[in-house]
This record gives sequence, C-alpha cells and structure tokens, in this order.
Amino acid sequence: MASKYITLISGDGYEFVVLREAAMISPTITGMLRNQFAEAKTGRCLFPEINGVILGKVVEYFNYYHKNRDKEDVLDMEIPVDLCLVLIEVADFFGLDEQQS
Amino acid sequence: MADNEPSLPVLPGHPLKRARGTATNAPLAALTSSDPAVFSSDDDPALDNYVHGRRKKRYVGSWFDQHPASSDSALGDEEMGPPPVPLPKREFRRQLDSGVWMPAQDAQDGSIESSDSSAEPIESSGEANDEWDLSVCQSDDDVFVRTRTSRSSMVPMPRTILSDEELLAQSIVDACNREGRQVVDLSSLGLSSLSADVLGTITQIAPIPVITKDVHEEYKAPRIQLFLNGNLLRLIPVAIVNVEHLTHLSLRMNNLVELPPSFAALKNLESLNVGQNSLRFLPSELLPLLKKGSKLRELLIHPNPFYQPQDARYCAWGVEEYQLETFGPVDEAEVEIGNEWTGMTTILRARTPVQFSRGSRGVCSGFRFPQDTEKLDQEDFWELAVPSEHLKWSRRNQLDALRGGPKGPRSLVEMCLRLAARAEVTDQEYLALRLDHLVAAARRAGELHKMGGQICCICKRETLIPATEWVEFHEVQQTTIKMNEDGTEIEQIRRVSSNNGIEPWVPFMRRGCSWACLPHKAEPPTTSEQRSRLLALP
Repeated sequence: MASKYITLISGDGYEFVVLREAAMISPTITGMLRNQFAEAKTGRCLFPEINGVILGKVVEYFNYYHKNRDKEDVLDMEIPVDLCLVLIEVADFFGLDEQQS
Repeated sequence: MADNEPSLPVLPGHPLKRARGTATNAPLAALTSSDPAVFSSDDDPALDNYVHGRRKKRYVGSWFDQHPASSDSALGDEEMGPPPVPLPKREFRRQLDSGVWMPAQDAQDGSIESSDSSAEPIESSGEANDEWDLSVCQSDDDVFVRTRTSRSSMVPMPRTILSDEELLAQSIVDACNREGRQVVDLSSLGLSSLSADVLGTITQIAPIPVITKDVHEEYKAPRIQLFLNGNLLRLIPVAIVNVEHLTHLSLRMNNLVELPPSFAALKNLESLNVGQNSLRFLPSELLPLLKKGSKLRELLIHPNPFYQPQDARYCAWGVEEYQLETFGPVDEAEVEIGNEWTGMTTILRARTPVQFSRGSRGVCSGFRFPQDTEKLDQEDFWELAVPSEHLKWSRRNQLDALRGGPKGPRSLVEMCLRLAARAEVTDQEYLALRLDHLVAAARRAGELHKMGGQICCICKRETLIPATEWVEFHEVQQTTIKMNEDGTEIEQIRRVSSNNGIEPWVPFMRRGCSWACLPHKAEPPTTSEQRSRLLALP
C-alpha cells in the first residue's frame, strides 16, 4: 500500500513532503508514480535541475490548489515578481497549465 | 496609622527657614494661613485639602504614575494602600520602536518600493535575497540561475519616457484642454504607440460653457472627438476606455491588429471608424453596442482583411437555441427609444468551429485560425467538433459539473503570466524563457493585459490565456425604428455593404477561459421541413 505522502527532492537537496493526492494534479508527477519506476516504489521524486525555492513554490501551489479546488473566486497565490519567469518554465514542466478539476 | 509612617524628627525651628512641611504640619499651616477662610460649601474639591482636621492628600510615585499614599488619605490615616509594586530594575537598552517616524534617507527609493508593494509583499524580498544567495552557492549546476534577474531590473519602473511624437500629441491635447476644444486631432503624427499619460489628459477636456446674462448655465456632458487616423498604432491601450465622453473615434489607417475587448465600456460612442487597418476580426464585446437603443450610429469597418466564411452558407437551424443556451437569456430591458431610433443592429448568421488551446502549449484542435488566408470553415449550430484530448479531459473532469465555468484557482502558468504581464516584463526578458511556446504565450498574455484583459464570454472570468476561441459571423445593418401612433414599431433596414461587394458578414471573436466554456450544441434537425429551413437563404 502506497503511502499517503510523497517526497519531492530539489536539486540542492531540499525535501518536500506533499500529500500524494495534492501532487497528483501534475501530470508529470502522476506519470512518475504510475508505473513501476523507482519513484513509484519509494515515493521519492528527484528533480535535479529544480532549485529548492522554486520547488517550494510549486509545492505551495499543490497545497493551495488542493485546499481551494472547490471554491470560487479564489485569490491568486502570492508569488514574488522575480520568480515568475522561472516559475513559468517549471510550471510548464510540471504540466500545470491546463484547467484541472 | 500615623505612627507607621516614617517621619523626620522635628527640627529645631530656624528663624528664617520654615520647617519642612510634613503631613502633620499641614493642618497647622492651614490654620495659620493668611488665605481667606474657605467653606465646605465651596465646590472646588481641591479645597478639601485645606479643611481643618483633615490631612492633605498624599500621593506616591512619579508624576506619570501616581496613586494615593493610603486608600483614602483624605479621610485620615486608617490604612495604607497596597505597597506599590516595585518597578523592575531598569535596563539601559535601545528602544527599537521609538514611535517617531523618520523619512527614509533616499525618498526616491521609498516611493518605488511602495508603488510595487502590492505586487510583491515586503517579506518576500528577504526571501528572494536568501534564495539569491542560495542559488549563487551552487550556481555551477543550477540551470535556473541564468534566468534569474536581480530585483531592480524586474521591478516595474514608472515609464514616463515619451517619444517625440507622443510629446507632440501631448502638447496638442494640452492645447485642446486649455481652450476647451473637444475635437482632438492627432491624425498623421506618426504615432506608433499611445501612452496612458496622453489619453489621461484627454479625459479632462471639458467645454468652456458660454455664459450669457440672465441665462442659467446648464451642465452639458462633453462630447470628445478623437482623431487618430493615419498613425502607426498597432494596439489601442486600454486607457482609452477611461475617456468616458468619447463620442467620435477615428482609427482609420493604422496598423491595428486587434481592438481591445474593453471597448464595450465606451457607451457614449456614436461613431467608430476602424477602416484600413489589419483587423481580422472585431471583439465580440462590441456586440452590445450594436443593439437597439445604443448610441452607436455609425460604424465604418471596411476595408480590413476580415475573416470570411468559406462558402457563406446560411444555416438558420439552431441559432436561437445556440444563443440562448450559450450566453443565457438576454435581459431584454425595454429601451426607451423615443419616436425614432437609428443605429446599428446585427444578426447572427454563422459560426466557425472552435479552436482549442492547451493552456500555453498552443492549439490542439483540428481547426485553427489560419495565418495566411482569410477564409474560415463553418460549423453548423448543431455540431461541435472537439479534439480527442478534449474528450479525455472531459471524461476526467465530468464536463457537466463544469458547466457555467470552471471553479477553483487558476493554473500556475496563468498566475505567473499574469504576474509578469502586470510587472510589464519586456520582450527581451521574455526571451529568457527557453521554450518557444512559453515565449509566445507570455507575449500574447502581455498584449492581452495591455488591452485590459479578456473576459470569458461564457463565465465572465478574466483570463490571459483563452482556451477556446471561435468566430461568429454577424450581418451588420443600419436600422431605423419608428414608432407609430398606436405604439407598434416599423423597422427599416439598410444594409451596410462593403466596397467590393462581398457579402458583408462581419467576424466577431468569442473567447472562453477554459475547455468547459464552449458554444452550445443545438438539437439537430430531424424532419424534412426543418432541413428545408436550414437551406433557406436570407
């Protein structure tokens, strides 16, 4: 039985423990955990080219989305302006650009 | 009791120096005072102190923290109050918040900080700095360090630099403002952009009222006419919407590729000229201005390289159902038109298939708006072609639950694009994004943001990445409605035809914010009578 949580590890060694259900909105992570990849067995996903701060923001978004998915008129998450371009790329990598539900 | 109180021994009287007044001496002093006698009926409570037989109130503590020495010292000396709490030993250390506000040394920096504080809270700047240090430490293998720019270069700076042409335009507007002229002629100035500053001064133009003797001055709303023809404008800034009393607007002979969706807010517009531009379509938000009762009388839109239907096939079947189910019932508020009304009306004739975009990743449907040709396919109102990805998506998300617009937060990419657009990230900075589709999406979002953002035509949510787009072809007519004596309306229609004689269907772009925001699929015709109806030509 897989754990309720998974661990995302950034390139510089930061580890983020996230609810599996919350992280599953990303098709990338879903794909990593689906088959018998090493990540699926251990529940630890390594993203060697993503910085800890950026991954932290992504994890924050997972939780923010998980908490607010059924609400209407949700305020946007706070993102520092100087992170936004980098975060666009990373969000695109995680496939966070469609409307999920 | 008086005995408990510490008292000094009575000093031998000195002829010149009065003995230091202790409490016990006070009544005596009052008796021997040369002050006039006081009576208990006097109101002044302070006079109690002088009444014989009572002792003067005594207080303990410094001036800011006084309390009576006994519970009621005025009544005598029954009991001492609780001993004052000894103050903690005073430490000498710096008071961090003195409560005194001092202006920053460099006021310039301070003002910029405050101007963007809405976009970025102060706390995050510290975090960003930390993160900067962190990324520097291991910059050799971190690929994202490259794109990180220092804070100062990303922070929106107030752009006040105007080009020479804009300065000239500004001076013309200022002159109009001074003289109260309402015709602002900015034609053929070679303007390639128009800043909000120039437009902002236009809003202040007010006619100088003619004042004659014995005539009451009445307020007249200004009727501003703005001529921007013969310039090089590519986009109209959203600030034009603020010119509330704009009645005539000419944008003829520019390089416009798109009109801002926020145009609909120009309710007082009577004449709009957008001919000889590069427009492929008009925003569907313009449609409310082309209705019975609106003020727009003159709409000159040709020539433009408008999208045209492939075969101009008119399909009457399902039009009403499509309009009703997609956009909801139109609130037919009874408009007062007086005896006669002349203006523009439209009739929906056809629509194209829907172009589906996968977030920022570009188009994924079979139908897409062509770049090279202006001929568009048509789709009947009872059909709706969706890409296979949409089928998967709708199965996963239970499309029915999403009717009426998606709920929940925006996607992370859109949030970031919105932030970048608000911070006015320049094109060069967008190029730092290494993926072409992201650069394109970011530029597109920036353009949409400059035009005031796109409101989803179905769920009215604001978006910068439209997910669905389709074009409706409308027939635009000039209509005159006259009222008979008995209250019935007579309608006279004059077609507005373009110069080259092509069927004057005008494309209006509809945009939705998600894959759930789609045109409604009408019931297909079943009987032969219905089929014959759909073939009927107007």
